[in-house]
Parts: sequence; structure tokens; C-alpha cells
Amino acid sequence: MIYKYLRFVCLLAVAAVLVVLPVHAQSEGLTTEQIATIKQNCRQISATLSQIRTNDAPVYINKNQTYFSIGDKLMARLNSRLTLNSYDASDLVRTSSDYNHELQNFRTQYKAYEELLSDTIHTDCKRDTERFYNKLASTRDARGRVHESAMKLREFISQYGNQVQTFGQQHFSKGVDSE
Amino acid sequence: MNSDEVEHAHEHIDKPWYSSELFFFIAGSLVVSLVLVAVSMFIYVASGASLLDSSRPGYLSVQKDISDTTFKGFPSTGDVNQGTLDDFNKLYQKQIKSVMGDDVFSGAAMSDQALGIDISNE
Repeated sequence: MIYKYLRFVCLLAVAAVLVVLPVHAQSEGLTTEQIATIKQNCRQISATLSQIRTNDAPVYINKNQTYFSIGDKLMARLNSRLTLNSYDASDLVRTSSDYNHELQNFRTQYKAYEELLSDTIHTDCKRDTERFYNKLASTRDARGRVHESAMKLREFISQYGNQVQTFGQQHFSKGVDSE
Repeated sequence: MNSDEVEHAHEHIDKPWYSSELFFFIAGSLVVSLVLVAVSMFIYVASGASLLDSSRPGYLSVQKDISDTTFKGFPSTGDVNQGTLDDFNKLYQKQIKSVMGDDVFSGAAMSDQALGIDISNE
């Protein structure tokens, strides 16, 4: 009988820990002063987030267009032209393939970020302050991933440019005019 | 009019409006169109196309910031020589200029300080 009782108490304790721990972990890092500040500046914070969302939209559209044109109208076309002329463009093809994969990732990450940002904006920061802050933290992480992806795209763009330079030096002694 | 015709006519008249063929046809058309709209809206949002649609009402205020691209690109056919690579490089450098300089989607815009919730310096 006593074992049954003990087992019940243990189970109850484990359940309590499982329920309380994540809540505690989520709200970790947010002081009472910060909660008060968020509540006080709630309207301004929401307005700033909405402004960020509005500003991000054209930036994303423009960058996406440019990234796409670099991959589709420059990299792919040069690769095709080199292959048609029987040159070995395998390095260039690999880089442009990696670039296209990263561009896909950039779009996916931005979509996730946009959804999180929208969700954060629609969370009541006055009544649901801690949840709002947790969502804000997730949105920041998502924005970081978009930034990271944009940086990777830049790396691939540089890499491709350097490879074209090397290709020019290997096949035509002069190399490529760098402006 | 024989008895069969009379019976048939009565059946036709007694049919309530909601069990008529015309009602089913209209209701069916509405249901099919609603399902198709729901599916297309799902695809529009899920594919990320909605984020690139500058004609959306939410984007009206920033439409002027969206650049109109008429970039033709590099010809995919023709000879390859030094001049070809030089031409490519000129186009490439021009096109990458707008994405290489700035620090897009940096975390600074969304920091505690930027949002006014940083109390460490207060």
C-alpha cells in the first residue's frame, strides 16, 4: 500500500517538474524591471516591430530579385555557355548549385521569420508580457538565420567571381578584368 | 393529359426548392469555387509567393521602395574568349553591387536597445 502511495507521489513530483521547468526556463532572463519596461512601452515596441516588418518587405523583395537574377541570369548562363564550348566548368557549376540551394534556404528562413514576427506583433505585450518576450527572442533568432543565409549567399557570390577569375587565368593568360 | 402525365406534373410541382436540380447546381458550384479559392490561397501563402507580391494591400506604402528589375542577363550562347569573360565580369560586378555592400537583416534593428526594453544602462 505504502509503495503505491510513494509511487503516486513520485509520479506527481515528476509531472510537476515537467510542467514547471519549461515555464521557468522560458521566462529566465526577463527581470521584473524588464517586464515593467515592456508593459510601459508596449505600444511603442509593437509600433517599432510593425515598422521593421514594413521595412523588411521591400528589402526582401529587392534582395530576392537580385539574388535570383545573379543565379539565373548570370551564373547559370555562363556555366551553360562554357559547357557548350566544351570547357570544364565543374567548379563553377558546383558553386552555382550551392548558391541556388542557399537561395532556397534564404527564402525558407525569411518566411519562417516573417511568420514569427507577425505572431509576435499580434501577441499582447501588456497582458502576456513573458510570452511576448519569448516570441520576440524566437523572432530574433529567426532574423539571425536570415542574416546568416544572406552572408552565405555573399560568400558564394564572391567565390563564383574568384572562380571566373581563375578560369580566365587558366584558359586565357590575361585573366579577367577586375574593376 | 393522361394519368401518368398528371402524376408526373404533380411530382414536379410538389418538389421543394431546396431539392431542385438548379439549387444543387448553384450550391455545388459555390462549394467547388470555395474549395478552389481555399486551395489556391494555401498555395499562395505556403509557397512564399505572398511575401513577394508587391501588390498586396500591406505593401502599398512601400511599393516605391521596390525596384523594377529589367535585367536582361548574360547571353547563354556564343564563343568564349577573353572578351566574353570581361563582359561577364562587368555585368556581374554591376549586379552584385547592391547585395554585397549592406548588412541585411542584422540583429541590431531588433535588439533590446532598439526596442527600448534594455534597462541595463538606465
